[in-house]
This record gives sequence, structure tokens and C-alpha cells, in this order.
Amino acid sequence: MLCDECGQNVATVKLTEIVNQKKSERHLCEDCARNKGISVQPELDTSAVAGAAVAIGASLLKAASGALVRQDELSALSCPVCGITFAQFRASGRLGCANDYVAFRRGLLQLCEKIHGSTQHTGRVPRQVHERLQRRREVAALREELNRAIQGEDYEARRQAARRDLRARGTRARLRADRGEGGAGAARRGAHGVVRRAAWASGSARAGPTPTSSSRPGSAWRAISPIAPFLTRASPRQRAELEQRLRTCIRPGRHRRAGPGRCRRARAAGVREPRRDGAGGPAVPGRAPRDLEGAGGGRG
Amino acid sequence: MSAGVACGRRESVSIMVNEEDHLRIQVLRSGFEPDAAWNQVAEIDDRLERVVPYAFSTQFGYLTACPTNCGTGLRISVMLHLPALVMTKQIERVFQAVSKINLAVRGFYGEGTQASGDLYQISNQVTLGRSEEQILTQIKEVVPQIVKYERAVREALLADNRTMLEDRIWPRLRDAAGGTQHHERGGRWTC
Repeated sequence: MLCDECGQNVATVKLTEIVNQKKSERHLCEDCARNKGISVQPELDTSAVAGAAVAIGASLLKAASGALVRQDELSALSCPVCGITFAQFRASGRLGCANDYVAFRRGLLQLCEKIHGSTQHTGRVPRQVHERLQRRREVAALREELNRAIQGEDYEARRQAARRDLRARGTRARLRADRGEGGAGAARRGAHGVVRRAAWASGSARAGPTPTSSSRPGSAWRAISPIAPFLTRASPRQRAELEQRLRTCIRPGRHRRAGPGRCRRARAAGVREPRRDGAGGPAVPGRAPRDLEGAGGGRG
Repeated sequence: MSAGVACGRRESVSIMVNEEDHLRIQVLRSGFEPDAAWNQVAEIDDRLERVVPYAFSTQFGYLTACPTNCGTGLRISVMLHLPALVMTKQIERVFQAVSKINLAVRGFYGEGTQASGDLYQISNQVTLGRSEEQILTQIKEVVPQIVKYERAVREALLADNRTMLEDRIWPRLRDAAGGTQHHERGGRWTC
């Protein structure tokens, strides 16, 4: 396209003018555009560039100084056991004692990330540590399972996970109580799993405030039931259904095998076994298992 | 602090005490038997563990004087004779490939030594973040491939450059048969 002004040169500038709300477009060559006072060369905004450069430089300096400060902080770290500093370790490449891994943890984590691409050991562990770790991992896995079940409102999985978790806690609490630690509260808090199981298995009326579909669950029931939060929110019909499921899930037969002594006592006391469908009522209302009394849930 | 080395009768097992680390258990096997060597190390380790409390961290694993060894503390080294790869200058390609998967190539006497007689040590570099089994598996997968590569190059050399190869080998064999002693000095063979 040729220039609208001179009609000779090739138009390289497009001039758009708006006068009295009327838009007009003209195509000009470089010379004509310059004659009209239009700057053709793209000008560099030096002030803006300089400002940006200063800003970038400042941020870089700030980051570098931050890194230097952090590096200085690291270098100044010293181990209270062997006394070497992180700078000495960097110079020699040898740590002074096992505690250095605690004292220089931050620096060593960075170093391990660079060397090994990882900061977490996944191999063998010494036997003693292994047992401790396994217990911890087991508890963590159970908790995770429990949380998953809660989120998914999977009552059955939640019930099973809660039973295992509570049983473990109950065992620990009993051990603590046996040693006289933590007071009665500890035993009460921890022994839910055990108590609940014993109560349902023996079929005693005083084995905890047995919930009914018509009554709102009491505090002791809430304490011992893993589905209690759902029960408190559930409608009477849903509650009845959940209670029914809970009853059928706890199998008295398994408990009989686990504790023959208790069953002998139960038989002597004339305790009737609860039926699988949960309709089997307790035969001796006045008798409450010792566990439950100890756990503070024996009212009702 | 006193230091020492305990050696087995066959000298295939040794335990260094108070060298760089408090304990260093070494087992050497001829052939390619990483599993057998590891099982023996693990057995010694289990027995020592009953009487020696190891410094251990759940994060850093077994604690060593140098963080490059922490974690499993396991270093598996395989000594390989790779003359054909050196002769055909293919060894560089092997080095590059091996370093990409975090394996180190070292000289005859381990870290910081030069390769002499075309003998190289291939060993794992990473000890943290991988289990012993993973390290073993990696070595068991990679080393046979290098061996296969070396053998293939040897075959090719024999097929294409038999004369050149024989010219290099026969004088050495003749010298050896004649009883001339070879001494290793400064990493070079002198006659």
C-alpha cells in the first residue's frame, strides 16, 4: 500500500485520528509521518527500564543478602556435644558426633537433598527402633483409616477401625492404671473399647446405658460408641438401624473363646447370651461387669 | 582413640573399627553375587546390633561421619574389567549413562583413585531415600548390561580388528611366559 499523503512511498505507519467522534484512518510512509510530527522509531522508556533494573537489582541483592545471612547463621551453628561448628564440618566433610545431625539438621537436610535427592530414610531400622516405629505407624494408619471412614461416612469401616484403635488405647490405659499412673480418668478414657466389648458380650443390662431407638443416647453411650456422633444427628429410624447394625457386628462367640473365665462366671450368674439379631435381652439386670464399673460407665 | 581391623580367615570379611566411621563391615565375593554378600553383611549387622547400640535417626537413617553415607550406609561396589570399552573409547558413554542413574564409577582402590589395568568399580552413590533392596536391585539390573556391552564390543573387536588385537596381546603374553615381572607404578604398567 502506498502512502496516502505522497502516494509514492510504501505506507508503514497507520495513523488513526478521532475528531468530533469521527474516526479516520490514514496510511503514511515514514517521511510523511515524521513531517506530521509522529515519532516513527519506537522509543525506549529509559526511566521505566532504569526503574525496573533498580528494582530487579534490589530484589537480587536482598535475596543474596538473605542467603548470606542464612549461610552465616548455619556456619555459626555449633554442636553442644562435640563442639564443632557447621563451618568446620563444611571444611572437613566429617561430622563430630551423632548429635550433629540434630544440631545441624537444617543444613544437613539441604545437603542430603543435593547428594541423595531425598531427606527421608526408607531402609532397615535397628530392631529396638523397629518395634517402636511399627507401633507408631500402626496407630497412624489406624487413625488415617478412621478419618477416611468418617469422611466417607462408611459406618462399617469406621466401626472396625474405631474398635481396634479403642482396644489399643484401652490396653494402654489399663496398663497405666495398673501402674497407678494417670488416675481413674486415664483408665476411664482409655478403656472404652474393652468395656464396650465386655458389656455387649455379657449381655448385662447394667453394662452401660444400652441405647434404645426411642431414647436419645446418653453421655456414656456417646463415649463408648464409635457411631455416636452419627446417632445424635440421626433420625429415630436411622438410629434404630445403626444400633441394629452395631449389635449384629459384635459377635459374642468370639468373646467367649477369648475369655472362658468370664463366661463361666456369666453362666454361673445365669446370664443369657444375646442373640445375633440383638433382640436377646439381658437376663440379670442387677449384675454389671467389673470392667464397666471401673470405667465409670455403669450407671443406668 | 584406638582403631583396628577384624578379618575373617578367608579374608573375605573384614570389620574396620574407628576408621572414618565407628564401624565398617565389608564383605567381598568373587563373581557377581551381590545378594550373597548383602545377606552376609546383614547377618553380621544383626549380630552386632544385639551388643552395640547404633546411632540411628528415623529421618537420616544410620548416622555416619559423612552425610554422603547416611541412610542405609550401604555401598555396593562391583569391580569390572572393561578393556574393550576402553580400547574403543566407549567407556565414556558408559560413565555418562551410569552417572545419570546415580551410580558412581571409581578406580581400582575406590574413591579418588585412578583406574588401572582397565579395572573399574561401579557403585551406588545414593544411600538415603532408597532401601537396601532397591539399591541391590539397581546394581543387579545395571551391571549385567555393562558386562553384556563389554562382551559385545570384544566380539566386534575380534571380528574387525583381530590383527591389531593380537599385536597388542601376544608381546604381553610372551613376556609373561618368559618370566618378566610387571610392576604397577603410578598407574602404568612398566616392563
